[in-house]
Amino acid sequence: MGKVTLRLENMGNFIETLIRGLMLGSVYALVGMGLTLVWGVVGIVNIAHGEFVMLGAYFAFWSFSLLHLNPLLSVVLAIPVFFFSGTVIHKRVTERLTKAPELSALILTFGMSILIWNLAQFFWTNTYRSVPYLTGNFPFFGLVFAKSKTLSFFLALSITAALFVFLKYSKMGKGIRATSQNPEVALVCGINTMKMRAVTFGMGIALAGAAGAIVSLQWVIFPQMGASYVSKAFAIVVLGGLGNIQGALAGGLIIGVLESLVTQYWSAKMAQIIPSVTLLLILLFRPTGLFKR
Amino acid sequence: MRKDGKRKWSRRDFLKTAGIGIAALGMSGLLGRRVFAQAKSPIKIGVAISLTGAWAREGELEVGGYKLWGKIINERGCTFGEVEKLGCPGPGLLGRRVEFVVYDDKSDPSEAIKLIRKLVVSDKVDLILGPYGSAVSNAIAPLAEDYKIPIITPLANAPVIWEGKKREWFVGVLPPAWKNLFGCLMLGKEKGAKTVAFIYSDTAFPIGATRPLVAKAKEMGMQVVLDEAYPKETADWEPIMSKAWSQKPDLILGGGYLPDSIGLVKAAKAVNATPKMFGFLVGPAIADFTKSLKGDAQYVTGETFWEPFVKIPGNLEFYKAYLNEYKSEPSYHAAAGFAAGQILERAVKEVGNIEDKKALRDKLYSIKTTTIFGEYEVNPLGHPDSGWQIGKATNLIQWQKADPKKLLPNQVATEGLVKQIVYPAGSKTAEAIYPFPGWGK
Repeated sequence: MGKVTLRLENMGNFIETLIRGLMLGSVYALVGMGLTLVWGVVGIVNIAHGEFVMLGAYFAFWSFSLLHLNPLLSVVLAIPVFFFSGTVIHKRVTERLTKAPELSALILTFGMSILIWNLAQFFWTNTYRSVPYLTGNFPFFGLVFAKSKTLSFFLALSITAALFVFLKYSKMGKGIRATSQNPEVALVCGINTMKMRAVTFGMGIALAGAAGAIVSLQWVIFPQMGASYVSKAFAIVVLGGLGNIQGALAGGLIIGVLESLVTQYWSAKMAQIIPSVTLLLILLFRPTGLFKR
Repeated sequence: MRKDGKRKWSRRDFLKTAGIGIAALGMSGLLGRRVFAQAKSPIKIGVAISLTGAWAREGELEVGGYKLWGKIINERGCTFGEVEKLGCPGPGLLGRRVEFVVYDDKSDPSEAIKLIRKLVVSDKVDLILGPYGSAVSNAIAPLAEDYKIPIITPLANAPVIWEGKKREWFVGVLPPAWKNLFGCLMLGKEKGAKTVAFIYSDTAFPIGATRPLVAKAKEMGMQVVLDEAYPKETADWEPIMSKAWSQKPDLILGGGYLPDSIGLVKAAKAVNATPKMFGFLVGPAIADFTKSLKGDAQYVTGETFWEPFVKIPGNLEFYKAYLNEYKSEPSYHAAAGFAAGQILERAVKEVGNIEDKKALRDKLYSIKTTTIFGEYEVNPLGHPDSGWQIGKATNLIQWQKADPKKLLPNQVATEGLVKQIVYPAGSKTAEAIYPFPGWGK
């Protein structure tokens, strides 16, 4: 009897770990989808993507601590704010890179990344901050889940669903997909590819900002936090296949679950190298990504 | 004497006047000690410390402690607490004024080495008080041996400085890092805890503070159900906390710095971890911990070297003097700096002079005393880790509900909670609440 209970408890622990992994992965997926979208459509590898996650987190933090805004509202607000900033940045800065060699984009966004986090450090200091909202847990069929993570999970899923619907059914979404598949043909067909690229860049930044606002609900915020997200996002993009949104979603969830399981059953240090190992293995054995049709 | 009234000094006149003058000066020594003290040459104390760079703030606070000690010595000849029992013979140390020669080491160990040489060779200081931190202390420790000048370093405790080094001229004030959470084990043992999980940041200080504790827990007969370092980049402590809690330990100990402690408490609440006690390294003693966690900080324990309300003789006087001098609350850095001065004060007074460096050194290695910072006793000469602080215990604090009527002087409530010292018995301000009653209770 004792053994059976123990087994059930172990099983419960396994399911908890698995679900926690999915919750973690949903946020990673959001970051990864933004990166893959910009990479696939605009043709820019945005090294500064993680910095926009950081800015999104600070956006939620300051709205909460200065304006006493509900963090849920910050997530919703972050989308238009970051979308608009993204399109402006694209028009002013990154549009010039679309015809430049790939290395130029890498160097420019790398510089942008350093600039952004240094400014953040200068203005907001290195103090670790967090948003004390919805702490604690709730029981669910004998299992225990964090309130903030569950909320984050549903927020991330809703944003992902909205993105899919937009890309699949809206006119602009179709335009974006056309631009991604073949910019010349799209242009000939009367699609304003320049506008599509600006919108896509804005969407990528909006996804990063929203992910950041969600991240602020569960983890600590500091100026250099972007680096760990961008490295995970790269693994996710490669895992899912470049420019493949569904692939990025799956990739994010896989990385999240792997990290969670490895921490629980092996070690937290091992879990940190999961993204890099995945990246390496995929590049070696299946460079087109897991989901290339 | 000439007739026109103008005085011409003959050799005899000069000798006569000078003789009377010297005698008068000598007499005045009997009448007023202050004049006598000023006639003697001052005691020059050299300090090379971080005033710019990474540790500027800590260095500034520490040197503030030194200078306050010097000021009080120059005013009344003794400071507060146990050292006061040696008597207050009037201004100065052994009747000599204390002066500081302070240089900025720019938070750079190699700069500190140059400055210590300068202090000894060109400034010819009589004594030296230490820099801030383990890195700089470790760099200058060999110079104390080279120049045979005793150095007291108040804010360094990395094992690398003393372990097996047989230092003969270099003593510390901070307790070794493994003592930081030792109180949790002692309290746990006393209350019947059988299992313990250690989760800590994979960086030098948390490792140094936790690994020896793992061994101690085993020696004490406790079962260590998890001993895991998590990567220092960790921003989400839920997986590691969930892993620790899946073993249902009685104690969960570890952490690293302030973000770790906050993150670990949040994670514990998120996975509904309810061990009998939580104990974390740097963090819980800082007010920001409770400002950030609010009610969830209650019952969490953590380490502190010193608190303004610790019941140690002289502590309250120190607190008041500091507040009066600097118009701000003292931190433990300032208290440790002040304490280093007090240790020097005791040694110098017991030896009776500052010229016999060897006698001073022997005294520093053999005295057992209590400063406003706590006990002082180092491993004696001949011990492999000679000079390493062993007398001082690290205090364990626990956040408990504040009762405004029962607050001690200098005890400040934050978010309705207050820090209470629950270990060691000597400095206890309240009984530890054990076991942890659960979240929101």
